[in-house]
Amino acid sequence: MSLRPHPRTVAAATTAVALLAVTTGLVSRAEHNGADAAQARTQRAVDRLIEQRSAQLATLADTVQPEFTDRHRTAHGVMASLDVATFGGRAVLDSRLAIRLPHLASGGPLDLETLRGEEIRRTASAATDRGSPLAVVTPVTHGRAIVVLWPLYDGALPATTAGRRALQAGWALAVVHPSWLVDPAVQTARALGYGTVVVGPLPASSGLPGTVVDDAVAVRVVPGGPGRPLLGWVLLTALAIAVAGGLALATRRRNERDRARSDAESLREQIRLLADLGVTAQETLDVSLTLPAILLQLSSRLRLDYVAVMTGSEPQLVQLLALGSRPSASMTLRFPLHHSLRTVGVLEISRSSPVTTTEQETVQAIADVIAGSLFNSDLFEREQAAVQRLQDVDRLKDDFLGTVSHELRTPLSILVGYSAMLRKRWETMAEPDKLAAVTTIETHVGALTNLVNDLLDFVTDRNSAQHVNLTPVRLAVPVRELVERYRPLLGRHELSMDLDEAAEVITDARAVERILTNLLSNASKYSPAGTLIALTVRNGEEGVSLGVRDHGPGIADTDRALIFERFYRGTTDAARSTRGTGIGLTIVRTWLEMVGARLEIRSQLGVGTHMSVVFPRPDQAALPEAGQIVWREEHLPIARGTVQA
Amino acid sequence: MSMPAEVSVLIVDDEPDMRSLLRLLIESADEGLTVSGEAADGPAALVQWEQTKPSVIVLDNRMPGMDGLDVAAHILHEQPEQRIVLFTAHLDEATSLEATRLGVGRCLSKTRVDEVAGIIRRLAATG
Repeated sequence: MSLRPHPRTVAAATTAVALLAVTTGLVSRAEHNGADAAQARTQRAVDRLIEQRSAQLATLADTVQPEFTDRHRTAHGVMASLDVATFGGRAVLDSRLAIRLPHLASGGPLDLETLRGEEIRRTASAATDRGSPLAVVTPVTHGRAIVVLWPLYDGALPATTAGRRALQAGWALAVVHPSWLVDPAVQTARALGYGTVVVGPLPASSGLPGTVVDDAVAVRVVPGGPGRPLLGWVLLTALAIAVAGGLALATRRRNERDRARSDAESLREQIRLLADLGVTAQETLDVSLTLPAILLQLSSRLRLDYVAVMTGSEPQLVQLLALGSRPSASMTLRFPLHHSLRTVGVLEISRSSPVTTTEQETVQAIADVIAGSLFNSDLFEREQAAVQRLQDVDRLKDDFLGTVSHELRTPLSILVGYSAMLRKRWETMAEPDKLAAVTTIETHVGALTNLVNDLLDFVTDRNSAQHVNLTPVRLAVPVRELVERYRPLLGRHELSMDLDEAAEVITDARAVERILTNLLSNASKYSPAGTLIALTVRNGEEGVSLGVRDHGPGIADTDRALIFERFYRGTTDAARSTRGTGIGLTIVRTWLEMVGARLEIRSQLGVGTHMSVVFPRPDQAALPEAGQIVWREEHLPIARGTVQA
Repeated sequence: MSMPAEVSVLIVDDEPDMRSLLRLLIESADEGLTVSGEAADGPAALVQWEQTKPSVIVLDNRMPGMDGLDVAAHILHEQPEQRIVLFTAHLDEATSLEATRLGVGRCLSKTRVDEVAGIIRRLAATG
């Protein structure tokens, strides 16, 4: 029968055998000398050997631990995994065992004479009752016994209750393969003429680090009576090896089959989970709907105590959603959310029981699904926003065309109507009626002119900057001339003027016209007929200001950020009930930027608005806040000046 | 065709100069037309309509708040035989269709304002 021990088992066994063999030699020499000093030296040598191997043992324990726990999870406690078979008075044991020798506690040498046959079973049964692991004993013959064990530090908390109890009680947990331990040990012992291998507690003075030391034991071979002829022992040993190997192989195959079945079931479960979550993620692009569903499924299927999704990257992670309360960072596992070569966030989980490698791989795959969802959702939102913006622009454009059409046709139809009436009834009309009709025509010609100028400005303003012609201008002169020309814009308002005739600015003449006509037009449109509009030119420290003060309803706070946006026409009742295209202030702002002027606005609801354009003087290099619109939280200046006829 | 002895007209337009022009054109037409009232917006138009019960309403469409079609819908719901001229600067197909659906008697573009008196008279004479 071929025996193919597991590689890790081979490593453990090799370590054990090497230690046994060397120890045997050392002890043997010490016994020949028969001196206590030699005994002490031997012990030190053993300690050194154990020290050298301890790191390897710890590593080994970590790697074999999953096998150990898997095995015990499917069986009923520690004892159930223990196979004891007796062949002709020999007991061989299963390959993976938890071991304790009760005699270790007393510190005395182990007398294996008592541990035979039924006694092994009895000891095992007692150990089961206590929830403790069991000793491994291979009685070779009556009166002679070899005890083989290898203690390993179990790096993590044992998964089974029995395992945890054992650990608490100070038991060492061992993983051994009897065929590899029995055969070389027996051969070595017999070849040297020793009959017994005794296991005892590791001396406290060994100075070995960590838990390995606490649970480790030293292995000694002590001289016994002359054994049976070597050949007999070899034959017996060979038989034991064959039996043990066969049993071990059968056990391993069964274990592997069980494990494969368990692994396959686990894999199927993980695939089902992934498929379910994939479907959930595909249901909608709205991550606020899919994410809770994904986390709930993940949490319930993997029995997680806590799961959370965070977006962004360290240290600015923002929690999107969490189920359960977050334990300390050391208790959580983090899985990066990767998409398109960048990290978009983190999936964090926590569970009281260990998360297996397969489960971790599944969670990472789910993290990838979530990352894809987040990415797609983000993309979708941006697309939606872009579509919304385009729809808004389209709606504004339609509104604008409707408004412009209306704003052009209303004055046009008045012009048509009045001129037709004048022509037809010229002879019969009274002189004052004729004058009134002509004045109305002038008013609407002014409004039309301003509107056409606005539209032309609006279409061309983006390209006009390079054509700005900055020259010194005595501001009162064009202001007076413009007021005369655009007087009809003021409708039935009173106008007062207070102009500093000497104030000189550096600007483009067109800017003065476009800014002033729009400010006057707004003041007229947004304040009740008959109220005063005050026009000022003042020379100040920061430049020369051109002010238009009305007694309208004022500008609502909510409108402040928007009134300079094209087509925006305000939210107050007064604004809504007033005609206009919503491009006047956009044009004002464009000209401010082009000539380096600044607009200061003071407005109080129910009181009025004062718009003041500050132009730089010819001696000024540049105006502070040039091109800017500045809201001043100040009381409105009292309107002064001579009321114009 | 029998001509009503007197046709009273309610003028509804938010532009004062347009109201003045309409009044001048209607009153000077010498076709038995009188102006029963003026209103600058929808709610005021409804009040005037209740009070004066005009034969014909010249109704601007584009007004702040309640537009001309809203006013027409309200009035025609109350009194389906009321004659209305929808008088609008921007007369598009959708507006014309909606006006017809509501039962508005006539739509007139503002650029043809000089025709308003004749149209009122003809509309008043129908039915």
